[in-house]
Amino acid sequence: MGPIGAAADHSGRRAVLVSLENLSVGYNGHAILRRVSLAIVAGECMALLGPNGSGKTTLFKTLLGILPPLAGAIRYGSEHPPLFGYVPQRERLDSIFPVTVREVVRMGAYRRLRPFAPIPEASHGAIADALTRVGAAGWESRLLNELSGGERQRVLIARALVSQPSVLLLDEPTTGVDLATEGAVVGLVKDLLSSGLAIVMVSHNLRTVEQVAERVIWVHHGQLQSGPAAEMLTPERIREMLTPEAT
Amino acid sequence: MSPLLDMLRPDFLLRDALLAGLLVGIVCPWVGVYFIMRRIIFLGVALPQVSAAGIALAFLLHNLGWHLLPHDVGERWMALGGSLTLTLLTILTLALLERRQGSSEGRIAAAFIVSGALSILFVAADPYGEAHLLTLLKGDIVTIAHDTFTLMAVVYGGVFVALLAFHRELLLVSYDPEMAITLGRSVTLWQIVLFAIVGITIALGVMTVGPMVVFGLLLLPPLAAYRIVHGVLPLCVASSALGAVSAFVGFYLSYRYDLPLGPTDVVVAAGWVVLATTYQIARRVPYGIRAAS
Repeated sequence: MGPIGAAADHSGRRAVLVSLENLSVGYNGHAILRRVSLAIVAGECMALLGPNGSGKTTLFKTLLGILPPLAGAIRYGSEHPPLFGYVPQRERLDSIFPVTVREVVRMGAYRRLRPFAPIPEASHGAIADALTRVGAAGWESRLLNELSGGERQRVLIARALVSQPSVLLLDEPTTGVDLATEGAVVGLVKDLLSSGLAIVMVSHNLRTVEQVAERVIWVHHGQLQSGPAAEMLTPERIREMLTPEAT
Repeated sequence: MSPLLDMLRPDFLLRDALLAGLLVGIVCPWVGVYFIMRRIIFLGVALPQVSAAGIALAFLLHNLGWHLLPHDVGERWMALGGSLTLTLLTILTLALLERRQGSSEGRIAAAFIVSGALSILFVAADPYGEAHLLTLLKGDIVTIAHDTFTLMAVVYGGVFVALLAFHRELLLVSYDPEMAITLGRSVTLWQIVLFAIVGITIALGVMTVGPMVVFGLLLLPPLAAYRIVHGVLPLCVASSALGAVSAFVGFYLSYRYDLPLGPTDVVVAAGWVVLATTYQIARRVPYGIRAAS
């Protein structure tokens, strides 16, 4: 998988890849989440939960550099920022583009390519490997917009894997997919975690979160509440976190 | 000698016009693929109109004594200067307003109707050669001067190489700008490259073949190819091929039957859309029958 080296140091502690320190995120100077502090750790799956519009995707976009932070700092565990892989919500991609699965997955290999440069042999191998891992081998010539939601999700995960990330951000990877795809995504996430990848997942699917997340962060009224999955996913906690803010 | 063999002779009298038509037929449809995929087809109607207004404005200013280019500059260069300047300014303005509130379709529509009105007013206010200017605004590829053709070959050649070289980047920022940022690409830079390509292609095309042919070849070949190929690169290649064949067949029909060239090109290109749609329907029918039985 990604070039992250050892997932743990000599004392057995897992390496911190990214630290958010008092980070505020939002649009046009308006903060949606304030003073967020958390660490993204190699080999750990962290799930962000919360109602729509609470700022989960905005936090993702800030991590990826799509939006500038409004305040606070993002620090990295090494000299260079880790390579991020991003699996967006699949509905966000415009279906008017007649892209094939091959074209979509190849995009993951563009990071190191200059104009006119052919895709190197190693990347061809990575593309074939990623498609096999997500169960999409043989789909290369199919149009993305002719696939089912679950199939599209697998292709987008394959694209992210080809970019060889050390931190993988999954935005609602199992929302609206069939049980087989959900099971495949869960199996894949577990597999990737064992290879040292850090995974941050936004999800409304608590069944998926229960199966893969070590740490759960509730986004609640503009603040984060973090803890081990077992503590954060009790019925009482879920009820409390989903209570609308009093106006 | 048959008109077809006549056209293929190296010393054919209208050789530059034929080759210029082929250049427009190859380059405009490839650019048009981005218009369709980015859902900005109306921009493809508006920009040729803006470009025409730029030509009229350049001539009006020149004839009123505002010599923006050296006095001995040929009128075609002046037309190109006006066309290119106003087209690029409009693209820049629309791009800057893109992030503001309001309807971008409304802004494009406003650009279209205002530039159409201004073209007529500029021509009416021009004290010299209204008829000549109208010919320039409509585009008259048959009378293309050799220096204009040379310029067109160089510029369209460059545009075509850029479209090929930057296909990955242009596709990525058009399809998934967030992924592009994640992969370290500057979305702003590549948007500028794409719109510069669009502006140059349209400005030069309008001056040589006119707004109707430019828009027709931007739109119709990609619409036809969209129905028969899978994948964005195959769509670009097939669109270009259909555009080139449209330009060639249109030229042949125009030459053979003494028809106006521009409308003939557009009607031939529209023929591909009819054929492709028929093919698409014919392919679906057996599935429909199977599903019903």
